[in-house]
Amino acid sequence: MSVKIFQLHKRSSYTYSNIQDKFSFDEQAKIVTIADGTTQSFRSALWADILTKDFLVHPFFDAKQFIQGLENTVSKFNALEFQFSENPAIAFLEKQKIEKGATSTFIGLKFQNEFIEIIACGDSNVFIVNENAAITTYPFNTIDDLDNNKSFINTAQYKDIEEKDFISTKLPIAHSDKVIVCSDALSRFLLDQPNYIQTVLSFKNYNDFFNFCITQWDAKKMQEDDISLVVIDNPINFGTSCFVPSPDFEFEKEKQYEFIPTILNEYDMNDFQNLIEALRKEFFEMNKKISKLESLVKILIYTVVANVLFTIMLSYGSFSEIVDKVKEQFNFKLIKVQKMPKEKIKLPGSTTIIIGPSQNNKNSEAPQLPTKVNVEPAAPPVKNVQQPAVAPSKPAKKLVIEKNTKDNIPHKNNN
Amino acid sequence: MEIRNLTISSTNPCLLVYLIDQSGSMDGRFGNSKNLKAIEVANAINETIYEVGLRCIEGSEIKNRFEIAVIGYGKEDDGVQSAWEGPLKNKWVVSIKNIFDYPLGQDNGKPIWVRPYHVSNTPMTKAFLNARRLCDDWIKWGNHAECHPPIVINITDGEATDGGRNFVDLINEVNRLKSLRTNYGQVNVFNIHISDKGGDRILYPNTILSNDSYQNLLFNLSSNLDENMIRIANQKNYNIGLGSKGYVFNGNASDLINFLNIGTPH
Repeated sequence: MSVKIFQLHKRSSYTYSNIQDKFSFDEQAKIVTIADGTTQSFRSALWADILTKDFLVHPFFDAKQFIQGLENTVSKFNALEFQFSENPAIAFLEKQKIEKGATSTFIGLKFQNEFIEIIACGDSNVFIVNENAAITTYPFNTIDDLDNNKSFINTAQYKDIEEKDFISTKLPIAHSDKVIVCSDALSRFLLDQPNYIQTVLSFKNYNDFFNFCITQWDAKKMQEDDISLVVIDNPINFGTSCFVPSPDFEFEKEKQYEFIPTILNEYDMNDFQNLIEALRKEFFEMNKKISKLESLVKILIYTVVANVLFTIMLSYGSFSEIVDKVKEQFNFKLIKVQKMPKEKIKLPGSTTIIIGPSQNNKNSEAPQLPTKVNVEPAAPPVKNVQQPAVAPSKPAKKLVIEKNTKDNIPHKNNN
Repeated sequence: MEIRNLTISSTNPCLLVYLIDQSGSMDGRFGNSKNLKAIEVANAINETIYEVGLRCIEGSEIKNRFEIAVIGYGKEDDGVQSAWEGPLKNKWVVSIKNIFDYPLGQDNGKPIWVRPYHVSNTPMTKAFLNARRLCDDWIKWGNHAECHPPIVINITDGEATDGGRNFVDLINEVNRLKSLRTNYGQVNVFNIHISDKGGDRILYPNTILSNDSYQNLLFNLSSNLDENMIRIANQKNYNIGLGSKGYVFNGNASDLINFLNIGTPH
């Protein structure tokens, strides 16, 4: 087994039938081809398939001849009938797509005794590893070289294609050399990480290849695209084996969830929150203004009071003069309370009462307002009874009853 | 993780967020075009969605490789709203498959999804705030941390009316948005500054010499184009290198579409 061909479709294509990379080989002629139909062009997988198969019939390794043969190849694609989508918007897209044509890259190799003949258009690459593990790459040596090549074969623009869009050569090869040919994603990966070339050469079965692809996809080290790989470990004995997914194999379809942003759910809420925020700010500003006003009013009051006091001080010279003047102005009278012995007032035919400060008021320094004394009418004679409840603990004071007028209401602070 | 090895797929989709200025000033002419700026911008968005669809169709099936949000600002006073209409109305993020299931209408057979508007103020800061919340949610959802970082593309003709003093609020909001990241890098913010004034086109510059403070602001707010984007831009014959900003001034509709395509990773 000297030629192994591996393929795996990208996970978003789900099944192998949707792969857009195509290959063909002819064991007798020792020819291998790979074509990578571009995802964004119309039915590019069909075009890639036609390109690879047509090359086996017309293996032109000369660019000029290849271009001349394209008209015939394109006519096979144009002869195909397509059914457009029932969705008018999508059908419009399809019609424009078909006008823009189908696009594919292409690489064809023919193994001779001492060399390989190659013709390439696009970003597939060849890696030759000799017995000393030295690596030769063709046509691209770096990722940048590969990415900067934008050549392709398009069914609508094939007349514009030029010889410079093709790279053709003959590379010397030894019987002990091993050769890798691959489409763009794996080519880019191997140019970036050539230490994996030995890993790729050592694939013995499909699982090796499959696990390698999944691992590198998951690690985001290799672009998730259709992968085509041809490994030739004996260019002389051209026995070919193909390793592709089984027809019933399918990658799990990704679950389609509609992304609903919070902004949608809370849009009205956001407006409401903005309103609250605006009100909060306004309230805060108002509070600040009110505080300022309060401070201003306080300052004003203090100023007026201070001004009045200052004026008064200037007018009277000293505090005592002011006090005297106030006394004079308001005609205050002092109530003088004299000490007097406890005295019983005997009213004819009535209860004896003791006049003096009440127990409740015994500690009060202020003179008490005259107490209204009710004198009951004469009652049956009883023993003089001293009311213990009103017995003074201090000597009773002489009661001076004055007319309760506005002028003589005593003030606590009048002296 | 190297973004070069990342394939945008239905397993690892990419979020595209378009912010469209729908303020009153968008009723001016776009450069030398006979169309209004609002119409040119709506056409560009529709064209871009269509281009994304072309990149996602396999056979007759559209793969959910991209999820798209189109956020309009200035259509309702200081309001920001999803620009999707018809059956997609009130949705914020829609997969490319669903987008093609529900076009708003067609123009000569070509599906359209967004209509032009030019109404009120320019609450750009609020639009970026919504974009940040959207991107933050999206990155935290499912396996999106393992995906290409979201791309936010702001298309405007004028000054933000809610940018704050010296546009500090706007700058802070954009910086917060740019600080979000997946395992493959930070969120990209690009600005397309369209104007009815004359002047040379400026495409993806490294530096900018201008007295227009707002032009300088939008330039400074824009992310640098990454290596992949630079490669695509150069394929489209734009001569740019590392350090180029995702900023276009006074570009025509074709530049808009090319720029948007650059922002659409392969």
